[in-house]
Amino acid sequence: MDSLTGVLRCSGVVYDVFRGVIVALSVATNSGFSYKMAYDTDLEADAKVNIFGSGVELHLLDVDNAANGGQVVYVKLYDSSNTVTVGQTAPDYQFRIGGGERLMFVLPGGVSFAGGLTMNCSTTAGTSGDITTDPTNGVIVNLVAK
Amino acid sequence: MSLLQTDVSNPLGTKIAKESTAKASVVNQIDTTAGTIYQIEINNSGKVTVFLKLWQGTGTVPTVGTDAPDHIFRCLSGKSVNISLPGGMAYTTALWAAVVEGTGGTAGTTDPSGVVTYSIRYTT
Repeated sequence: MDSLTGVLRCSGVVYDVFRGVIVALSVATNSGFSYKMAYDTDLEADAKVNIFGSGVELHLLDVDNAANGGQVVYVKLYDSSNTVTVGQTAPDYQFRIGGGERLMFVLPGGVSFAGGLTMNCSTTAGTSGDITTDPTNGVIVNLVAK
Repeated sequence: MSLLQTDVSNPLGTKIAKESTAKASVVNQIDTTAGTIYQIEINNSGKVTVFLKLWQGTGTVPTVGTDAPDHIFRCLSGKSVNISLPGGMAYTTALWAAVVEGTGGTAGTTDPSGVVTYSIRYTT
């Protein structure tokens, strides 16, 4: 991007999306302001580790489970820069998304992930969950942090 | 424990449930029917991290530490967390809440050692 918005760094992912290439996770940062954005088109049971690469303060979580009309999913967030053991590591935050629903959680004051933000999406609530059991269809997740 | 429920004239949440001394050993039944949550606020004046855990979809009191919560929200010591749900978040059957010290996920039965309060704005 140009000087209007500063230098947008997103490792070419948006570029790829415009060309119809599906990539699961993209992270964008902008030197013009302090917020970072992450977009995952298919969050699954296997955890995405430390997606922003450092500690962050989360301000918005938007989860779209529209593709799974009859399936409840649980987005789980972990304050960790390391790999979590799905099914054993207790999530610090968990959000239940009903089948076919899209929910937006706004955190005006932010919540701290000092170690890094790691996340996964499970069909099982709580600490339990099988790393091989993904939601049937893609669950889309947007995050805004700084 | 002291649970206060008040009617308000706000279409995005006609009731507020406020717990002034949240515990793990006392599960509050916020609602007995289906409804929609619009805002959640947690204040932790204690010195240990706590977790607000919510259960829905059951008319039976959940067993803290055993029954997997539907929602989990961490609140660090000395901090507050405010969660707004502009479109609302629906729940079915009933809504239950408890606060556990130190342990996220499913496990944990320890009462907060400090004073923890929470409020939930909802419509039923």
